[in-house]
Amino acid sequence: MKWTKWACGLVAAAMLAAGCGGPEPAAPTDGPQGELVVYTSQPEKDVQQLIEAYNKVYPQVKVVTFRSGTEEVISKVMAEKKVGAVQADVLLVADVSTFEGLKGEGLLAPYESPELKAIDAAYYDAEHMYVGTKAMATGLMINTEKIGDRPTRWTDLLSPAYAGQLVMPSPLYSGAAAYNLGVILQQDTLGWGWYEGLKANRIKVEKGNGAVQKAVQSGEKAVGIVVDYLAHRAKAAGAPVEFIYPQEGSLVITEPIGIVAGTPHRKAAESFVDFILSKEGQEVTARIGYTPIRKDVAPPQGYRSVDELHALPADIGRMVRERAADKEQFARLFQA
Amino acid sequence: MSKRSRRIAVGAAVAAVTVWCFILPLWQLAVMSVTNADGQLTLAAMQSLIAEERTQRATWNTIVIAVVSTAMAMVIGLYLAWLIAYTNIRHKRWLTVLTLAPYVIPSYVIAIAWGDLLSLHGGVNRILTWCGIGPVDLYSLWGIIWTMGWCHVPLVFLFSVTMLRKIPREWEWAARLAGCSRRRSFFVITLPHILPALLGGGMLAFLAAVDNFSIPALLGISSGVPVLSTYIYEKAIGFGPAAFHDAAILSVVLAVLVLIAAWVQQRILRTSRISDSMWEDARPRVEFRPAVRRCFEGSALVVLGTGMMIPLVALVMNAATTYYGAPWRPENMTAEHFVTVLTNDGIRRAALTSVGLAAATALICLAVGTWVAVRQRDGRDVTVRFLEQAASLTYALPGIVLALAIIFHWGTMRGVYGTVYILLIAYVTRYLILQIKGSQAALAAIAPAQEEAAAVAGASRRTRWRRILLPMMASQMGASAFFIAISASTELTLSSLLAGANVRTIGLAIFGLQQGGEYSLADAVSALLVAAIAGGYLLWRAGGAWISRRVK
Repeated sequence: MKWTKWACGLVAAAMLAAGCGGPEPAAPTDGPQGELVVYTSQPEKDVQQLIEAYNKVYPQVKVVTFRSGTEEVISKVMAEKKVGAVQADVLLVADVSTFEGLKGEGLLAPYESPELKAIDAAYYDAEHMYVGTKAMATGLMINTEKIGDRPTRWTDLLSPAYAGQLVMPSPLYSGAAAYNLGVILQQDTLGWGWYEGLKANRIKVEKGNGAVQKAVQSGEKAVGIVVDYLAHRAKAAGAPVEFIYPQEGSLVITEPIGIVAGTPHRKAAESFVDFILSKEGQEVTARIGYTPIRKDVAPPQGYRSVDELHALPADIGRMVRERAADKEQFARLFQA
Repeated sequence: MSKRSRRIAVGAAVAAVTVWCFILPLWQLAVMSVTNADGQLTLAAMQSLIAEERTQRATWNTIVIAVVSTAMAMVIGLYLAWLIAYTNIRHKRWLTVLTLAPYVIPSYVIAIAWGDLLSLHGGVNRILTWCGIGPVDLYSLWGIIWTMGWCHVPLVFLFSVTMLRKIPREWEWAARLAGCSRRRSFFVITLPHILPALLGGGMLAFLAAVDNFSIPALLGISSGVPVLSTYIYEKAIGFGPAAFHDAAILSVVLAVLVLIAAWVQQRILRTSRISDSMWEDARPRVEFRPAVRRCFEGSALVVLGTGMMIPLVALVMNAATTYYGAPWRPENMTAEHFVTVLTNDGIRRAALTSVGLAAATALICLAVGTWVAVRQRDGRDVTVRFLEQAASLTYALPGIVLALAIIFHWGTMRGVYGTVYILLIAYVTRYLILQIKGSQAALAAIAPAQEEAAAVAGASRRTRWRRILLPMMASQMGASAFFIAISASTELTLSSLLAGANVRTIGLAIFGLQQGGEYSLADAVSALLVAAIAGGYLLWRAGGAWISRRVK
């Protein structure tokens, strides 16, 4: 029957269209090539800009990304590890303590990029398992139309003036927030007492940093605890907001990158790490709107440079050990 | 091969495929719910999980949301159905299209649109606060109910409008002659007779509400309002040895809830005294004077405007402002988000994947579903009937439950899990029944005499199909296939659990943008998706008109 053949042909064509999005890359030459799977918590748009810049230098590598909140990305990797089929080649997620956890699980492979020379040793792992790619400071984003007195310190948030006006991301979803939780709990002046005070001040706990940004820029809340770049970008888009670096110090994460142990695409993975750390890659990072990790690349307008960021100190080992328990206690405190 | 042995071979093949694709996944899910991580049979996990406060809260929320949103959908749906079926208001065609819009616009888009309209600091909430009602927070139990109620109006509407038209007008006349007022005859005659249809449609809305994942996922996860479908999702994507077992247990709870509701629905429908064969009388029965008519037309417009149009306008406006929450003034307008979305590689690939999957799903369903319907017509084939029942089961069960079952069954197979093929399998498993029903209805509408006449005239089986059956079935079959294609292209529930890192559907792309806090981009993709659906609908209508012209 003619029409059955015709229908089968159509099905096959549709399956092909669903299976592969476009033509395969052109003929191979030297340099890394193939497919590279990157799991990341970076915003969609930023990842694409980064990949586009990378592909200008390494056109033979096809980068595929999976994006979600850090905690979900990690859950996915761990689940894949359990069934023995880790699909990621490179991980690019929020913070050092997450990577310490991955290192402990034996998920990372060491790689000493030649670009490390230009980066302060404080920002990469001594065993070269991971290296920071940018500096992101968490501070206070305020809505200038909603706020009376501007807060200057973390402890100012406990003032009754801000009751019902506060919002923060949940450490159960956001890796940055989970890291911040760990750092704050190690500060003598803050700790659980501070979180209890925030709760008493009826702080709203949103899922991610993006939701906090939305709440502050739309005027729903007056003060949000949020990553600097979101506030700077909202301001650039015309929103009535300012970013405040608290006097006690900021919560700085470096969004490290690491190569997955046993990846079959080692060459491509190395080239990706090299590119992000290179002067060129860091310039792209600055252009997208982050503080570069390299000192020889200037930060975007309005941002503090990596040296000017006054980071609150923390013991990473302790943080990794206590992370799960801290998150559980946070869930009990705010979900009850 | 003799005819008989060939029939047995085909029957065996159908039975084997049915068991493998439809029954085994569900069986594995059931087994998973009563075993522990070591594979031992135990009910301890089930007992402790069901005893957990959060499980009970999720179950309770699921039921409350389903009941209240269904009541809301029934009131609105019945009112619109009555207007369209009985009165002489004008523009019925457009009002019907608007009413049915949520049938094809995915519920996550509607949830995002309502979220935009009722953003806490937005204009509507300012007015509500000024009136002393607000501010209204859509990210709450009531927000979920409200959004879901609007999404399920079409289900009630579709059921009621047909039934209303089938009630013989003579019955009402008889009541009027016996001295009943028009209002009284509505309550004495019309309402009791459409009650089974109304409740049947209501139960469908109830089932859809229990099944719905996207609305509580968007509005309930961040605000801490768990329902069973999102709770299963959270368990399944969470890490830990017991995660899948817990998800399986919750799935069984949800499945039981749904099967009870589906059984009740069947019972209710059976009590109906209006039979399928009754004639649909579409002529108006209530003639309003022009002034009154304008009032009723206005009321329909207000209802549909509030429910369907204004949220979509808010969606487009928010997609076109410089930053989320910016006042809608000319100086804040920008096309930037649309440009970003249209040039984004990830979103382009997601759109291609969805379109390819939708086309493949619709074509496979069209072929298999029609084949099943034809075999049923040609003779009593037990295995085909078995396939139909199995396919109804996979459609009746909530999407998130089916997704989990498919992971357990196909997940161990290399080259399936994490690829686009597991999605194709899942979509066909879920939507096949729609095409079987559609093709059955198409075949039933053809008088056997026409085919017999062609046979007597010497036409071969092939010619009969090509010249008589296919042209007459095309429009009804095409409608089912079109609906399957639309549903598959905007699907979110199955893909949220089944898609791997490299595969992303357009629904997942929007969900991801929304979860990642990129609200303006999520708005832009949603707005484009609605435009694409509207475009697809118009194209399909034009194509249908073209085909029917050619057939005549």
